[in-house]
Amino acid sequence: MSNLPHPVEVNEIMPEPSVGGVDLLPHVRKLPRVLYGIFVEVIRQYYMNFEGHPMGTPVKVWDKDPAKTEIWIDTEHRWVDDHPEFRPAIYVALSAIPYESLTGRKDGALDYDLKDSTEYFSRSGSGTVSFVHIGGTCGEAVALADSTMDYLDAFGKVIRDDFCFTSFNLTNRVPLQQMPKESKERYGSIVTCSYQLQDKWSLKQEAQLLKIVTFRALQQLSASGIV
Amino acid sequence: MIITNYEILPSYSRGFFHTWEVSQSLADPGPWRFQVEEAPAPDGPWTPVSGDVINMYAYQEVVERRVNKNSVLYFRIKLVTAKDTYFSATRMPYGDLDRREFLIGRDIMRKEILHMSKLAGTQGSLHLVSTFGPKCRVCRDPITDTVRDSKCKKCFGTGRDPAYHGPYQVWYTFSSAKRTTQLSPQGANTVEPAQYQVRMIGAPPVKKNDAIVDTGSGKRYYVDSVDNAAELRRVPLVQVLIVNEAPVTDALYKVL
Repeated sequence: MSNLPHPVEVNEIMPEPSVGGVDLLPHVRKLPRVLYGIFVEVIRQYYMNFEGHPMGTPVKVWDKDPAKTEIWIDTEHRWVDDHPEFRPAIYVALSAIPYESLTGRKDGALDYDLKDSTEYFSRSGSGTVSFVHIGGTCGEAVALADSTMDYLDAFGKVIRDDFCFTSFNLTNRVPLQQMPKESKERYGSIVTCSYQLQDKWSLKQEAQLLKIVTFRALQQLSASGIV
Repeated sequence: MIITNYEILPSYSRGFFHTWEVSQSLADPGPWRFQVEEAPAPDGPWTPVSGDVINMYAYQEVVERRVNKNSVLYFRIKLVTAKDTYFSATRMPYGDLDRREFLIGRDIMRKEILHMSKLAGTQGSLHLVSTFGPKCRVCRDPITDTVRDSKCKKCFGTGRDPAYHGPYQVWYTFSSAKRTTQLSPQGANTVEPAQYQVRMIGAPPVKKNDAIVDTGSGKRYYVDSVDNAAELRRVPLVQVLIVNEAPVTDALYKVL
């Protein structure tokens, strides 16, 4: 009986990096553009579903049609010409994302495969995402943020797994604050979550492949040379 | 006293302008039916001047009153709810002014309206936001009493039912304004601040968050601040308002 490990066939769930021209998320580096998309989509999906709201919160249903939506959900600093000052609104704000390598090296190098002449890199990043709820009344801003907080706290692990974060959890809540005045007074309530992500990539270098050096028993290097 | 701040203001175009408020402590179920009554003596006999004024807190006589200059009149407000009947304190027709001052005040208003109607003004309607009256039972938090929906179909974010009372037809003079679309300072899409200075006569008295509808353009405005440009013994004759144009998605476009 051989003591060699039994070869296990590992199949990726999604072997192709894209389906129908859409890039799959695990294969996409989590740049801020992608992070904005993830968090806006997460919160829009929640507010699209009328039945997803806990009892007692004002039922504001998001719709992709600006004429039908009852709440504006978007990224921060978004230029919207046709519907200025749509309130209530939720906007997604990202903090700075400090990166660090897993090995402590500054260049992020993780491994080098001499055989394939391929270098592997990895970086981890962490940051916070704030869901800022702006309401026309203080009660509205607080109620909306309560609803969002319940959702993010309950489904934090699911969000972490579905979007391949290392961690995703609720970290902070600003119950109520006065926002800059618009056509009338505005109130804000902020839910903040922290996340950690890890990006990995490889670099195949243009170099001659190394030869494999093997020694056989009873061979002398000086007599037969390198095989 | 349930009915408070009962005022009688001069109004050039028609008869007396009556405004009043209701104590916050009154919790009788609506509708609340008001009636303006007059009498030749403080103790009566009282006769109604108006019909039923339902859920409104002002009444303007429809025609100019022509009475003997020596006659003395007394007014009061009667409120009938489902539970009880209440009366205001009795007021003389000229309010805090004597007859001569009342006529001077009315003439100043006449000239203001003349200037607006013949040259510079536009006609619009004024809606006074409810600061008292039955509370909204749909969107108020039962414990904290805060309004949880700025677009509530019942109170439209005011917390009262009805949200506004009016309309009162008035003449306005609008200043010019600079309009610019810009990113919201709080990071949430764009805003289009448009602030105007609006001049109008002192009746009805305007307060913050009242709403103005420009009948010509259909645009809605929130009153931000009020400055009495002319007063006579603290009776406002000319008001200058700072108003902000409401965005087209605002609840004002649904309620008014």
